[in-house]
Amino acid sequence: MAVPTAHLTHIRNQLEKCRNKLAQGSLTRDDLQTIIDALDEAERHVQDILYIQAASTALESPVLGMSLYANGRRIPLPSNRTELPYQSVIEAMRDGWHIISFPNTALVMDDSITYGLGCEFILEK
Amino acid sequence: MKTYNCKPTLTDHEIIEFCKYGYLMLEEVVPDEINERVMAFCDAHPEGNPNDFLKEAWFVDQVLCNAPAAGAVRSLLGRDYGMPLTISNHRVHCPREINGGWHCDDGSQRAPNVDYLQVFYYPQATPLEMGPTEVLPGSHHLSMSSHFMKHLDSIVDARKTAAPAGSIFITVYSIWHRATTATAAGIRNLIKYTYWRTAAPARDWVIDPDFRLENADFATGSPEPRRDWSRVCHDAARMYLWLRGELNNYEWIGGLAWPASATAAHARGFCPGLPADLT
Repeated sequence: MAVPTAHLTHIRNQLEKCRNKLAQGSLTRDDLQTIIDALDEAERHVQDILYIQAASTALESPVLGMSLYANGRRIPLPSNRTELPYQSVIEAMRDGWHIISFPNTALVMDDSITYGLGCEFILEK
Repeated sequence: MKTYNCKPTLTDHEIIEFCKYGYLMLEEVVPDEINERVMAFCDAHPEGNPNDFLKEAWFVDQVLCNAPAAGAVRSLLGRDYGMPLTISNHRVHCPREINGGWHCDDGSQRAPNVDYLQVFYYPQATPLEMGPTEVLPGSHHLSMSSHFMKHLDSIVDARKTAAPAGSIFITVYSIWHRATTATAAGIRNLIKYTYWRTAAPARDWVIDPDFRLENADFATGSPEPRRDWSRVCHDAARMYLWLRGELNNYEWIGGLAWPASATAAHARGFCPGLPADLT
């Protein structure tokens, strides 16, 4: 996963501090915790991705399927529609998600061949 | 290839349901003593393809030729259908976590043809905690390479095939399916095999004298279908007529013609699009 340069610099500085404290015999548990915290912070900056398969290209159309990657991990979701975190693309947008890919209509120009699972939007945070 | 014949058990209505949804669940059709014997055999043959099952007469008689399952297979594949050539066991150590994983098996085609059937058999109780296979009803009509499904996860209207021991479910080969997360501990066996058509398709199943093609319901009833309603009906009708060996009589004229509006049209005594000379 890609970690922003600023976070890498911060973690490196913390490690150097710990190395110096280790040499001086003053390294503490809290010093090491600061590095763990810095790693957690960096992880939170991984791009989150939300795939939504919708019944139509309209942002208000009902969700048919959904996949979520957060903090670099796939997050299990229920298959019951009412338990999904969003019922439509517009609901996800209102919660801060940004669309980065719209359904590719070039794939469905031939209606006699049905492709895939509805109209897929890809969003990020 | 060994073949088998028996009496068909499915009616036109059940055949149409299979064409619409792509699978048929038969719960608790294998006796407990056979399930236990299968479990012991799986422990002794833990490999992914325990083909020695095919040498066991009791397995062939009670599982592969199981009366309710064989009757359904006979209905869909016709007489003297080909018996499985290999046996697979999706034997997993639970618990395990599954995310994504949707696929259709290699070689899947989106044709109306039903030249073979994919069959799953649970020799043990397989509740949700033991990670039953999940299927997406109607997906055998959707075109998508498995490589482009790998990001999919939660799909509305997907069905987990949780079932008691001795259950068999029969699917169109190309149905989308996946393994699911198992939270319980233990080993779960899932036996899988394929039957083959040898006879030309024909309406060789249980004929309901009251069945009328113009009244047949090809809609899935989903309130928000993934596809246009008329297309859903057309695909199911196309598969059904292929099974009858009468697909050449059918030309889809679109609009609200048969099979999309079969019931409503018949009520008015006029059924545009209905294949000629078919009942």
